[in-house]
This record gives sequence, structure tokens and C-alpha cells, in this order.
Amino acid sequence: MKLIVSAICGFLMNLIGLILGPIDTLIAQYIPTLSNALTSVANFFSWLVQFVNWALSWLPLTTDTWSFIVAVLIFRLTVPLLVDTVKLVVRWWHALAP
Amino acid sequence: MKKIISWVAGSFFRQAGRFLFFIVIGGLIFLLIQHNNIQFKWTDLLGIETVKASTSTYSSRTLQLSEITYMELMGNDLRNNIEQFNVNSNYWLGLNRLSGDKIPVSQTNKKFTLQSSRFYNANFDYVYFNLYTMITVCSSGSSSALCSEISGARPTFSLNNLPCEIIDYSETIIGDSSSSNGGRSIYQNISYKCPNTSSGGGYVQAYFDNFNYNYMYARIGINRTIWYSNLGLTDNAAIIEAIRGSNAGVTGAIEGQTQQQEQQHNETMSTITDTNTTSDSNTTATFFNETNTTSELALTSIVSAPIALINNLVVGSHDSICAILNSKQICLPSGDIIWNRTSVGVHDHWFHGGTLEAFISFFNLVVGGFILYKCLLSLFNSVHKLLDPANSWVGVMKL
Repeated sequence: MKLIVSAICGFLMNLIGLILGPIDTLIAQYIPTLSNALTSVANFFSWLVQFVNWALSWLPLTTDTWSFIVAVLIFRLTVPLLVDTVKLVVRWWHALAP
Repeated sequence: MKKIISWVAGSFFRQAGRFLFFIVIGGLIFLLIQHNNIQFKWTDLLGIETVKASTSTYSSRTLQLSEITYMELMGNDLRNNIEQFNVNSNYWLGLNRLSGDKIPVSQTNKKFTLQSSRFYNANFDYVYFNLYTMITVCSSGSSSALCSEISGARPTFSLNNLPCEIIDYSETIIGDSSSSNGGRSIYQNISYKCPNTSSGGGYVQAYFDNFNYNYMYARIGINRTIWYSNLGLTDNAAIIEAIRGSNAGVTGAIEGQTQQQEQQHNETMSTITDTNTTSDSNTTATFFNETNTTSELALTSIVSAPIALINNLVVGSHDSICAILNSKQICLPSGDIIWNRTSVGVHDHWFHGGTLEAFISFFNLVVGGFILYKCLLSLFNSVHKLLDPANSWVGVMKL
């Protein structure tokens, strides 16, 4: 479970980096002021992430518990949307079919 | 009337209680700051240090050849051999003797020194140097084991005897271990971040104490473009980007970044599609060692911040929170010092089979069990709704 969730996170982070990496490089080269501002925002977000992670570290829950909670949330936020979309398409197909 | 009075009085005392609470918290923070003689700046929380005498966060200048006033290599005074040489369209200042001028290295003096009064800039806190070295090893019949040791060995660097930290590193290895082929050569390009200080005479020194090479081609220098900044200790991303852009140009940087991202993407895909489940743990562990969760790219970091949080939770990476206040580093330890999830540390004897382990088991059984029960209930409801053909919340969304 933990490995699957970690793999999904890693895949998403690499995908985001693949898409935004060249844009970041262009901004850093041609608009250094904007790059500095974005870096400051990124630092603030990084600090927030670190702080939330630090606060949650004081809960004696194991990483397996966290993995399960995250996995359930991922399931609840993705699978119903996918299935309901398929059901909607099927319903439209039945309504529009001659 | 009684209800109105009760409501007014309740509201008043609630507000008074909140006000008192804030005053107490504020007083504690004030006392803490006063007690530790801390000059608190809100910008410290953002990783920004205010610029003392400049309007920009970083700047650069180009050194001239005549501004290098002294050079020493392996104990030899080489001030008459200072040159400017070109490598990959970058100009370096230092020693440029190529093949045929190998210098035997003693075990006691592996030092390269440059001096210039231009290394110091009063407006900034840090100065950055790019060091270029070309090192040849294994040219006298050494074993391949020794050749492999040389890869990744990095010289330590100092400015006016203050140690510098490596913020960027790249190396290229060519050749092999056989002496007939000229040996193995390593080209290194290393970026150092040094505390900017005027005291000491303007010396930069690179030490090669951790190198086990036999001979070295004397081609060592620093980049003519040196950078200054007031960025904090942990905020090297902007200056690294600037230095990389200066070194390679934007086209090369984009190509390199794209290739790196594509490589990581391919590794991710190959990991996911790997059907050999017996090595899942090792493969995934290696993969995440190579994953840069604290990306140096600003936009990428912002967008991927929530995913990084989830990943940290799942992986179990808990870091202490540290802040540099008035040159003092203050850290709040993470919960691992008590819960000791990694089972390594001073509480080992207390953790294994002791009271703490029993408490963690009990807590996870009661609280964790309740949370998991709720999660399973939520999961069951989700699946139950999915099975209902009439239930579709996508259908009522304004797509």
C-alpha cells in the first residue's frame, strides 16, 4: 500500500517537473525578478509543508495508517468521478441513440 | 430578557478569554525573544534575508586576469603562470598546463590557492565560486579499484579560511585505468557558496585531501564570473539557476533539464510496469532516493507542494523545524524523538518492548482503529453509491 501511494506521488511530482521545468528555467533566465518572487512563494509553501509534516509527526500514528488514509482519500476523489463520468456518458448515449 | 443577558455575558467573557489568551501567548513569545536576544524578522519564515546595501538579491562581477595577485599549487609559487583559459565557452582564471606537465602530488600538500582583493564585496553576505579541475589518475599502472574511488571525490574549498559548502556539482570521466591509454581523467565543475568576509587577505583555497590520485594535470581555475548574494543558508535555488544559466546558457540548461526530467519519467514508468514483485522494495527505495522532493524549481515546488506533503507522510520523513534567528539556529525536534519510528536513537532501550511501544500499539489500536473504521465505512459508502445506477454526482455538476 505504502509503495503504491509513494509511486503515485513520485510519478505525479516527476510529471509536474517535466511539464514545468522548462518554464521555470525560462523564467529564471529572462525574468529573474519573477523567479525570485516565485522562489519566495515556493519557500513559504515548502515551510508550510514542513510545518504540517512536523505537527503530524507528533501523532503516534504509523506510516501504514497514514498510507491507508491517503489511499482511501485518493480512491474517494478519483474512482467515483471516473465511474460516474462513464455512467453519465452511457446515459447520454442511451438518450441520444435513435 | 434572561436569555439576552446570558447571551451578552457569554459573548463578553468568551471574547475576554480569547483576548487574554492572545496576550499570554504574545507575552510568552516576547519573553522568549528577549531572553534569547533574538532579532526576529518575519522574512526569516519565508527563507528571505533582507538585502543590506543593495536593491537586488544577488549580483555578479567578472574578474580580470590582473586581479589575481597570487597563485600556489602543491606548495609551488606559480604567480607568474596565472592564465585565463577557455573551457566550453567559459573563461577560467588559474593554471593551464596541459598534457606533459604532470605534477606529482605529495601526501602532505594537496592545496591550490588563489588570492585577490576582488573576492570580497561589502554589500553581500555570500560569494560563489565555480571551481574547474582536470585530474588524471591511474596513469602509472594503478588498479581499477583506485580509479573507481576517484569518482565523486570533491575538493573542500575555503575563503579566507572559512569553509564553503558545495551547492552544485558535475563531473565527466573519460578514459580507462590502463596506463597505455593515458589513464583516466576527471573533469569537475563545482559551485561553492562561501561566507563573505574581508578579513584574511582574499584567499580562496581548494584542498584535495580526499583524492588518492598519483598525478594531476595542472589545469585548475575559478570561473571569471563570481556571484554575490544575500540569500539565506537554505535558499540556493535562485543563485544555482543563475550560475547554471551563466555557465551553460539558457538553451543548454533547458535541454539538460528536459533530458533529466525525461529520464526520471522513464524510470518511473519502468518502475510501475515492473512485474517482478520480489524486488519492489529495493526498486522503489532506489527510485525515491533519486526523486528530488525538494525541487529547486519554483513553479514545480509550488504545484507539487501538496503531493510532497502526502509523500512525506507516507514515507515517514519527519524533519525538525529550524529557523535562523540572529545567526542562531533554533530547531524544534520532530515527534520521532519520542515515538522513535525509525527505532534508532537514544530511546532504543525504552522503545523496544517497553512502555512506549505498548502505548503506541494501544494508541494505534484505539485511535488508529477508529480512523481506519471510519475510512472503511466511507469506502463502503462510496462503493455502494457507485453500484447505484441512479446515483451520479457528475450528472449534476456544472461541467
